[in-house]
Amino acid sequence: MRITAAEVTALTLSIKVALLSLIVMFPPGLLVGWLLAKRAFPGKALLNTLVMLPLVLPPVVSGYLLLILLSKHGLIGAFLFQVFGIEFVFSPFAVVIAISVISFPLLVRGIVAGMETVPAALENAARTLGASPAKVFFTVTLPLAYRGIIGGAILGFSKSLGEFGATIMVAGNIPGKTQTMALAIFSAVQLGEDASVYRLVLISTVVAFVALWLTERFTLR
Amino acid sequence: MTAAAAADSTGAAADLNDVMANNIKISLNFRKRLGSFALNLNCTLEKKVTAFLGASGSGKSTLLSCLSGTLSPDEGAIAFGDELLYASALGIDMPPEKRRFGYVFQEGYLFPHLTVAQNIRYGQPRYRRKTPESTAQVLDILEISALLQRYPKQLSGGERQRVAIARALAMEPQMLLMDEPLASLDSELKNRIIPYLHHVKDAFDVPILYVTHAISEAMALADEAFLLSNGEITASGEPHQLLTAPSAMPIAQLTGVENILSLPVAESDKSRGVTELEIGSQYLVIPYIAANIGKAIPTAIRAEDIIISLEPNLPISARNILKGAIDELDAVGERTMLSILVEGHRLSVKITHEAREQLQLRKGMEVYCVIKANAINLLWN
Repeated sequence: MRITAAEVTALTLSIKVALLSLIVMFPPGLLVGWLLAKRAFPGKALLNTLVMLPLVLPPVVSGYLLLILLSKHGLIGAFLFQVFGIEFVFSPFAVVIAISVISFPLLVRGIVAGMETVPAALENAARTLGASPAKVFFTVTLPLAYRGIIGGAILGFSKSLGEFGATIMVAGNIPGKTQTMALAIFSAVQLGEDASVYRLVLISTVVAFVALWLTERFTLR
Repeated sequence: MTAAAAADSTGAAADLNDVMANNIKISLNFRKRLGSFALNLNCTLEKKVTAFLGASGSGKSTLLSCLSGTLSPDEGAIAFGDELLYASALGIDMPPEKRRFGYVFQEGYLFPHLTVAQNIRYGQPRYRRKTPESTAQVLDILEISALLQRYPKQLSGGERQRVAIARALAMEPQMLLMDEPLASLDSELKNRIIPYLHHVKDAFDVPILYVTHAISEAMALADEAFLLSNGEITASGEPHQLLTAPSAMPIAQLTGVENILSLPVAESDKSRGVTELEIGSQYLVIPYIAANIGKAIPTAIRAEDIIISLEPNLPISARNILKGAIDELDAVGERTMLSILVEGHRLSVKITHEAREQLQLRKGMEVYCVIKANAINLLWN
């Protein structure tokens, strides 16, 4: 079995954008996860709904909404284009944005699940020992929630690797630029390149398997 | 100096020791409502160890949460000396990390991901990290030097509580808050930890607020006690007086020890392994303790551990047969509660209705209370 250069490009692009998305979304994921798991505030249900919405919306719908927002005539896109002269849609950054929106709920869910296992009493104990809320977060909440956090991160990363619907709406399917593994499979199927389809499907399956297996290893006691 | 004067001055020193360090007064005057429950406090703590005694649901935990700052009262003020920790009128509510109140939780709440050493270091002031003499003293007094590299789950219940106390002390607290620190331990372990608490009391110049439902712990440690019931203070005073008074009976029964007697040592004989306590002209024999003659020893005896006999000379092994007279008989559910006066000391005895009928017990009748030495719990270490 010989992997073509185009397939390697699609694979590395997938991994790059998924990693970049994870790095960018991890800090806000921690913040939102902490808010949802540990804080009571007005509008909590609304925040939770907004964060989780991409999980239940058809990805194509999420992608379409992003397209409207980010295009040259969209709310955010117009601003970016006029002020910085940059256009996001149909660029690798659009891929990052699309997969970030789709995988964020999974990342946050893992983080919330992890943080909810940390007893508030333990955090209160840390406060009485002189720790500021920030110190409590980094020395008690984070280390004790690490299984859930790693689980959420790997699950979100895996989701990013395979994202299709939102990506194709905002970023298109441009080989070498925005064509990720999932899009490459779609193209190969359309063009009837069966050998390529098999290779890509095998690679995708192996990557997904390893990711899930790692999650289980980290989260199972 | 005459002997009397010497005795006097040591007495004064002992009194001083019981008064709080630097005469710091802690005033609690606040209200907190939680659902249908309301805690309403107005008191001043002036002694080194103050016990709040109450059943579960009486507001003990709410009190500690409000004091430590993990829960905000609805209104009122909390002051530690001159410092206001909370004052609703002024909008002051100091966060817990600024209060420096060492909190010892019933469940310990050690950090499971940190070793004992790291747990103890957690609250230590940063500038002290390089000169841990005080920590060395803490480790020494609580005997945990050998446990430092272990994780909390590798500790026994008693070790865990000792580490929890050490962690609270190592932060060099302004005050120690203890929330039923012995409640999760069995009675044998309790008796082993109480001496550590005594050492802590003597060695550190820190006021202690001790919350418990166990009269024995309050008696063993506290200089002053408050009874808490439904969120209100119902009585307060010197623990021995407060808790041996007839008015404390409902609490005593609530906490499962009906008889609390504070009796002076008449004789202590190490070779025979016994100590005799005076109860009027009679004696109560207990296992040997090293105590001076005349020292008052608080003891607790459960009402069901006393056997009633109509005759004094029984062929039995129990060492204590006290003569008394029945003052009251009360049917309490399945049992009869007898109140027996033994030379001015009141003993509550729980027997079955059947026994009461067979012995034909009546008010004013002379009876003998038979007590096994093992049934007498010392509230002193």
